[in-house]
Formats: sequence, structure tokens, C-alpha cells
Amino acid sequence: MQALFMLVCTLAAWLHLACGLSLVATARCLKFINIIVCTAVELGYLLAQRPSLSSPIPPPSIPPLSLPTDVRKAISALSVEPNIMRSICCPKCLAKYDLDSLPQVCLRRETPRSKVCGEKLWTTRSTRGGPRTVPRRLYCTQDFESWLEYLLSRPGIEDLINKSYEHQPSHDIMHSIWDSPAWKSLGNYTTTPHNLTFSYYIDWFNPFTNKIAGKTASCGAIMMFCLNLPHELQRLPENTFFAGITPPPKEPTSTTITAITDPIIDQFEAMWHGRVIRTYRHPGGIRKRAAILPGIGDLLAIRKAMGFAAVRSHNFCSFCKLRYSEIGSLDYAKWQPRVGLEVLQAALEWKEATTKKTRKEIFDKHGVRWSSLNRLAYRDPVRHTVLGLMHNWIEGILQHHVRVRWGIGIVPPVDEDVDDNRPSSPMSDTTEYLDIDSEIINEEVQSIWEESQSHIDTPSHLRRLRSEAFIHINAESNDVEVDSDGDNDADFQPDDESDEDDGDENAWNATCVFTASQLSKIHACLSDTVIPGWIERPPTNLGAKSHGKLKADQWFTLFTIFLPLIIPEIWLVSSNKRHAALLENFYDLVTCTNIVCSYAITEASADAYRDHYIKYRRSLDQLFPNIPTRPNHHYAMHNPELMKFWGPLIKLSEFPYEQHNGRLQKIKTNSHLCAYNSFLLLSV
Amino acid sequence: MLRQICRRGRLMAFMCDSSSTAASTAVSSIANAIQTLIQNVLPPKSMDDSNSILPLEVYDEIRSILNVELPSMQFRHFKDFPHPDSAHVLPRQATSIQHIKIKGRDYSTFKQHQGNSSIGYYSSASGEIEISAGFIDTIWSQTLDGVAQTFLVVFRHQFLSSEDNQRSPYQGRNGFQVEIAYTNSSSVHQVVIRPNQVIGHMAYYERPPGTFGIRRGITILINSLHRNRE
Repeated sequence: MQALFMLVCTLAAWLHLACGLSLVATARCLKFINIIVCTAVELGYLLAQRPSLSSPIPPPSIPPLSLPTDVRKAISALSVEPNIMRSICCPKCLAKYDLDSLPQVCLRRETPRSKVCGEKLWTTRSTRGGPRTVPRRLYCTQDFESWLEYLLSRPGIEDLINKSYEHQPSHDIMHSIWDSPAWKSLGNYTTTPHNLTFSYYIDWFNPFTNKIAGKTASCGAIMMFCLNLPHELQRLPENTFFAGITPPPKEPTSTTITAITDPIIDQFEAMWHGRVIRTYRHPGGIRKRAAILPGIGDLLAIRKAMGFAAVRSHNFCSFCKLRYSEIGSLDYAKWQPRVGLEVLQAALEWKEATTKKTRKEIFDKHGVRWSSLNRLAYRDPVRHTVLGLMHNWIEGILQHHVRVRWGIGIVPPVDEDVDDNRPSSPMSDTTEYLDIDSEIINEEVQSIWEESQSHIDTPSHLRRLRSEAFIHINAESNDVEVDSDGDNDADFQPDDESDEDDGDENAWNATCVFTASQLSKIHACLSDTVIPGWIERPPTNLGAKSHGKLKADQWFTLFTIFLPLIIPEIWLVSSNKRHAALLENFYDLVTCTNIVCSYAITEASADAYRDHYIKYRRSLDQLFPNIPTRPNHHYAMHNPELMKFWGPLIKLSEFPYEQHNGRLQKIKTNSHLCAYNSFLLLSV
Repeated sequence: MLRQICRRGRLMAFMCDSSSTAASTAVSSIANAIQTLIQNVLPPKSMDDSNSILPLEVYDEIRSILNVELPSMQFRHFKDFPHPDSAHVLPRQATSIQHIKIKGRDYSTFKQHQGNSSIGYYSSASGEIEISAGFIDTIWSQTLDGVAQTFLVVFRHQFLSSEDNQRSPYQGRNGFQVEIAYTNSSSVHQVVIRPNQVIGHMAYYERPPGTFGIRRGITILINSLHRNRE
């Protein structure tokens, strides 16, 4: 009966937690299950106890069945409750407070000589017991030690982790981070048994999903994968450490983010020295250490989290000291690399500065702010920051190439003999754009504008926003020059799935390089190519507004599977020299994509990537001279050194983390993001 | 939200760690009971089923593969009567299957799913290891000495002649990771391979005669889907 009880509990918990069934619907299911089980048991009992004619024995009464009727009881019976730590924080600056000593207004100062924040920390909420005064904002984090104990108490997990210590790294070809110099960059830490190494990922998502007319809000998820596990198991929800979710509705700014990440880093600072953890193989406990190695995220999130200047700052690169004004440079030998110690020193200076003015001066000079992760002394803030492959290459370079350089999504010329060397014409009213929704962008710009005005650390003029919000305010735009004083380091967060640096209005003046008949050939190829079942086919009407946004995976298959099947045929038949150059340009891009997304990396393949990428960039400048280089183009120049240091970048990509973000988005919150538990309501 | 996602992860772990929970014991016992019921109710599969008899040419290829892989066994041909005592005679019966999982991916016969049947594989037909491509025609499974052995019968593509290859825009552009074969080859060549020879799926696009100036119809195959996975 106990087994039956556990089975029903598991089913109820699965319906509610994994399938998203509401509490009421799950309770209804449980009622039905109760009836079905009781009837089945009764029938079976009667059949088993059926008296024979020879020895009539009356059947004894059926033992009472006790099955759960409420999913909360079922979850409680399964012991799947995590240890969540809740703290109170200021809604504006996110400073942490204790409930016992919570003042009326926030008393935090950004620097010792700044004004106090002054934000109200209390609000009144209606409850069943009447109005109650409660804290305005809560911040939740998960306790790392209890999570680690849960993970390591699972049978088989320690054996899987031990494989990372036993792994013999390959000398010539890297198949995973275990083969890479990055794995050795912490000395013998990573190869010492009982030491665990984690990735650190941060990104923001809209908890109301990305509905056009829906509410907009931003939540930040901080999650970590245990890199000692085999790659295919790292990403599973049961093996992922969800460290915390930033309090909605607005994401933290580059200066307030440390308040969010500090509690998490506190735990990892302690774990570097080790803690006794009970495990499946060591129920009495054994000393385990934990460290964070790669910092992963999209360009904006990772810059904010690691304390680097934003993509349009003059110190726009976290890997080298190239200035934004030199963004088109391909002479990588002349680029001066950033050094971790210098970055740490500058970040420390910034932290210890007593005025905002001094901080600004330090930031302008070095492009660095303080980050909580700098407290982990074993980390190198430069080398241990990964360029997100999904956002930089797939949603950055590839998407940009189709939309901006090729102009797919713009109504193509009908005439077959169109001159492809014609000058670019301004955007017309009849133009359709690939997965661009002006309403979404306008809403986002408005939201960000309001946010930036509520936090004084962003500029008060629209010029910065214009570059990202070209559709909304492009009539006002005149120039795209970069502000050399570093002011344009706004924490701008455009569409979270788009290429973040893709914001130059000139780009949208492009025309489509394909004629209508050529586009129909591409559509036929997209429709008729035979693919295995696990590949998702991109929209066969590529370029039409109706298909909406393409997922990163679709951009990727477009460039590695579908377009190479048809583009050579389209451009080969032409005697046009420009078509031959376009084909070569496309070939270099596909070659780079195949290398950078490969699951095996060698020195030679990384060098081949660099050769092809430089060729691609050069031909890009010749073919599309009016379209400026984007920060993503420069960052991708650093991929060879990243591949040589980390091994296959695809294994450190944002894909699995984004899937978790998707899961988080689907969790039903009844549109209430600021959850108050009864403990807090009762205790105030 | 954080609590829900953490609960979900722990629930999935609870469900996965089947061997240590009472619930899973119950699940296993119920599953066993259902299995027994199915076995009792459904008639056993007839070994005389035509699907269970290997075609002779496939049988011969399988036998030669096994005799190379397992030289200590030396399987005898079923026709080579009389068989000495304790001789290993390769049975002609085998189970025809439609789908197989290799390195986490589903592969099927051509009749079941054309996309899942198009593969690239390592071949050593010419003495050196080279990459070939083809469609999986049938998949056979045999249990030999208690070990399940799987064989894939593949219709191998005929790649372009060197003359036609010169006309291909893919010639010299290896970065595309494309192979080109004739679509309806007159000399269809059948080979038997093992699952560990499979490199990965190959997406393909058939083009009419005259494409790139090649007189025959061609099939353009993409050989990058494996992404160099281990």
C-alpha cells in the first residue's frame, strides 16, 4: 500500500510540476485516481477472497486506503522540497535587509559619499485577514550545500563525476573541456577527486513569455552546471543548480547586480575551502570543494555580471583593449590582450572609489566595474569569461548576415536581370522584415527608457537608445558615431533573443541580394530537402513576416544544411562577378560555422577558422561597404583563442541554459511575480 | 518560480533513481506483470516468418564480417554439411528491425523514414578507410553466443565521376562538407555495415539532370550533421 501511495504521489507531483497542471486540476485527477484505485483494489480483493462452495469463508473487510487528495501533500511525501533562502531587498537598489531590522526606507549608499537610496521598503497588501504591511520585494536563492547533498546522495552520480578525474586528456584533439587548457588553468584542482567545477550562467527572460500584447517584465536566472558530469547529463534539470532568480519586474543594473550575486558568491567562496557533505558513497560525510570556472551568458548579461563595459562602449571588448573606433581592424596581432590581474586591479579601484565621479573616471579608462565574481580569487576575469556561441555567432553573425547583408525579409526585386550593384534605397512602407516586430521593440524601448530614468546611472538622452530602436525613432537619427567618453555604456537590453549589437539603422536600408525567383528556389530547397527526424525544418517561406522569429537552432541548420545545398547553384549560373564574390563570402561563413560549432577542436581547425573568418570579413567589407561592422563581428575574431583554451565552444554554449529559461517561463505564476509566503505575512 | 523549478528537478531525479525507491519497485512489478500478461495473451512470433530469413547475399556478408571480427569463432556456412561437433554455425534466421538508435540518434530503413535512413559511414572496401554514403535498406539483428549483433544493409551511393566532379561548385570547397552522388545509379551496390561504422545522418537534396552541367540527376548530401561528435 505504501508503494501505491508513493506512485500516486509521484504521478500527482509530475502532473503539477512537470506538466504544469494547476492545483485544482491535479486535485481533480487525484480524486479520479482514488476512485479507480479503490474500485480496482476492491475488485481484486473480492476475487482473491472468493469463497468456494466447499469451504464458504466470508471475506474479511478491505483495509482502508489512504491516497493523497492534494498535490501539496503528495510533494511533501516525496521529499522533493529544496532549501530556498528568502531575503528582503530594496526594490530599487536591491540591497539586502533582515526582516528583524528592516527600516522604512532603504539606507544604502552606492558609494560612501553618495546619497542614500531612500526607496520605500514596505507596502500594504490585502490578505484574507485584512490589510497587512509587508516588505515590497523578496529575493530567493537556493542553498548550495543542501543542493549538493541532494545531488551527491543520488546513486551513481559520484561514479559519473569520478570519470572526470580519471579522464586522460587527448593531446591533439579536444572533445570536451576535460581536454582543454582551461581545465588545467586551476592547477590540479579540477583533476583532484572530490573537487567540483561549475559553470556560471546568467540571463534575463520575460516571465510572462514574449507575448506581443502581454505584460512585460524581466527575471534573471542564475544557474550552474556541474562540469565534472558527462556533457549530456550536465544539462538535465535534476543536475542543474538553480542558484537564484532576480526579483522582477526589472532586471538589476550594472551597479546593483552585485547585491544579487553576492549571496551566491558567498556560498562559493566558502565552498572553495571545502565543506563536509553527506553523499551516497559517504553517508557520514566527506569534504567536497566547489569552484566556478566559465562565466557564460549573452553579450549584455555577461558584461553586466562580470563588470565589463557594454557592447557600444569605447572599451567594448572584454578580451582585448581595442577601441570601438577601431572595430573594423583585422590585424589581430596588434591587438593588446586584456590581462586578468589588470582587470582585477581596476575593478578593485572602482569598488573602493568614494564618489561616483571617480568611479566613472576609472570606468572610462579601463571599461571595468566591480563584479561579485572577482571575489573568487582563483578565477581570471578575462580568460574565464566565455563568448556565448549562440548569441554571438548564431543569433549574431548568421542572423545578421541573412537579414542585414543579404536583406532577406525585404521584398525582393521581381526582375530577374536586376543589377545587384545598385545603390541601397531607404526602407519603404511596403518592406517586410524578418521577425522584427516594431510593437515589441517600441514597448521594450519604452520600458527600458523608463527604467533608465528611474536609475540615474544611465544617460538621460535618447541618442543611445536610437541605435537599438531604429524603427521607433529612426527619424531622429543622424549619426551612429560612438561616444568616446564612455557614456554610451547603457545597460540596454533589447529583445533578449536577438543579436544584441544589431542596432544600426543603416542596416535596414539594405536591399535583398536575391531576386524573387532566386528566393523561390531557396524556398523549394527548404521544403524539399530530406532531413532526419530530429532536425527542425526552418520556415519554408523564409523572409515572410508570417513565420515569425526563427530559433537559434533554425538559423544554425539554415546555414549548415539548407543554404549550402542551393546557394552555389543560384550564384554559379550567373556570370556576375559579384555573385562569385558573394558565393566565396558565403563559403567562408559556412566553413567558420562548421568549425566553431564542431564537437571536436584541434589547433589546426582553430587556425583554419581564423583564416576563413578574416577572408569573410574582408569580402564583407568589399561587398557591403555601407554596412558598418558590428561588435559581434569583432568578438568572433576571438573565437580561435577561445577554442584553443576551452575546447569545443558548442559544449559551453547557451542552448541548454536557454532551455531552462524556457521552462522557467512556462511555470504558472497566475501573473503574480512577487510571491509572499504566509510566513512573512504572518510574522509582520 | 525558483522553488517550482527546483522541485521539478528533484522530482525528475526521484523518478530516474528507480532502483532505490519503493514506488519504482511497484512500477517494476506492475511492468513485469503487464509483460507476463502480454506474453501469455499474444501468440509467439513465428520463426518461419519470411522477415526472419536472411537473404543469401546478406548472410554471406554477415558471415565474412563476423569471421573477421571474431576469428576465434569461425562461423560455418549453414549449407556446409556435415557440421562437426561444437562447430559455430551461423544461423540464417535473424530479426528484421525498422529502427535503431546509434549514439542517441534514430536510424530507420528507407521505407520507414527516408531522412533517418540517409547515412554517412566509414568503409574500408578499397583497403583504406574512407567515407561512403547510402540509404539503409534493412536492419538485421541476431543473437550469437548470447550477444545481440546488429547489421545494417545499405544501398551505397555512387559519387560523381572525376569528370563530373570538376563541374561541381563544391569541388575544392571542403568547408561546405558536401558530397554529391548520382540520384538513380544503374549499379546499385549493396553493403553490410555495423552500427559503429555509422558517422551520422546525411541530409540530401535531389537535383535534376543538367544541374552544374552534369547530365544525370544528382543528389547533394550534407555531411556535417554529426558535428564531429565522439
